[in-house]
Amino acid sequence: MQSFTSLIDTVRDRLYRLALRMTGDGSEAEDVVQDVLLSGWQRQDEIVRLDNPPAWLMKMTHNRAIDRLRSRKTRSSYERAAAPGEACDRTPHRLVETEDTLHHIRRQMEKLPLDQRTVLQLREVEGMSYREITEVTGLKMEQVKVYLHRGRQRLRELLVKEKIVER
Amino acid sequence: MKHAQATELIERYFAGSTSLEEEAALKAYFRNGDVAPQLQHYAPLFHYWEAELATTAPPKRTAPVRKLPRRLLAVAAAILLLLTVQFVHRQQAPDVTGFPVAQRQPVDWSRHEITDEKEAMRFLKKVLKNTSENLTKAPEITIRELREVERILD
Repeated sequence: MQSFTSLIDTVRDRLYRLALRMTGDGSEAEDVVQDVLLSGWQRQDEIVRLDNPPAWLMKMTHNRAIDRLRSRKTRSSYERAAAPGEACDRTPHRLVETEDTLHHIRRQMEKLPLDQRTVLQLREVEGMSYREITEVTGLKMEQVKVYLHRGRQRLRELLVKEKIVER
Repeated sequence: MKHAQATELIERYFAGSTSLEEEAALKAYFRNGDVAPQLQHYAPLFHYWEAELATTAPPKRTAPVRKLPRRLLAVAAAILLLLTVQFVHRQQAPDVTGFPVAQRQPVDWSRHEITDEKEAMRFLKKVLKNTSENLTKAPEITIRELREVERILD
C-alpha cells in the first residue's frame, strides 16, 4: 500500500494541471490543490486503502474547482466586462510561425465549455481512460464520449478559424 | 507509424473513436517530427498536449501537519500564556540596581500570532462572545452601583 506522502508526490502535478485548466487561474488552482491535500491528509488512512487513490483526489479537485467557479461566477462577469479586449497585433498566419502558437491554442481551449475542456484535459494530457474520467467528473460514459468528440471538433473549428490548423 | 495510417487515425481522432493506445501513437508520430505535409498543420495541437503535460505545480507552500489533540493544545497554550505573562512582568519590572539601565526589549508578539485559520476564527468568536457578555453586564453593574449610592445617601 502506497503511503499518502508518496501518493501526493506522484499526483500533485496532475491535480494542479486539472485545477489550473478548470479555473484558468494559477493561484486559485494552488488553493484548490491545497484544500484537496489538506482534506486528503485528514482522511489519509481511508484514502490509501481505495482501489484508485489518484482518481479520488482528482475527483476531489474537480469538485473543489467547480465550487470555486460557482462562487466567483458573479465576480468574473464583472471582471470580464472591465477587462480590455483580447489584443493581438499579429495576423493569424504569423501566429502559426511564432512561439505564441501554444499560448493561442490554450486561449482557444479556454473558450470551450467547462465539461468539454475538463474531459479533453483528462484524456489528452493525463491520458485517462473513459472509465477513469467518469470517476473523476461524475459524468456518464456516453456523456464523456460525446464531450470528448464535441470538444475535439470544437477545438478544431476554433483553430481553423484562427488559421492555426487547416481543414 | 506510416503517413497513411496517421492520416486515417487523425480522422478517427477528431471523430472521437480512437483508443488511448492509438492516441499515444498519434502523439508519438507528431513528436517524431517526420510528419506528412497534409498533417503538418495539426502538429501545433499535438505539441500543445505534450507541453501541457510539462506544467507542474509550484513548490509546496507548507507540508500538511497532523493536528494535535485539543487537550494537549490547551495545555501548551496555558504554558505559553504563563511564560508570556512572566516574561512581560519581568520586562516591566527591571532591576533598579542595574547600571546602566538596559533598554527594555519590546515583546515580539508576532511569535505568538495565531497562524491556523480555524484556531484564529475560534479565538475571535470567543473574544466577541466575552465582549458581548461584558457589554450586557455593564448596565446591570451601573444600576447596582447607583442603587448602592442611593442607599448610602439615604
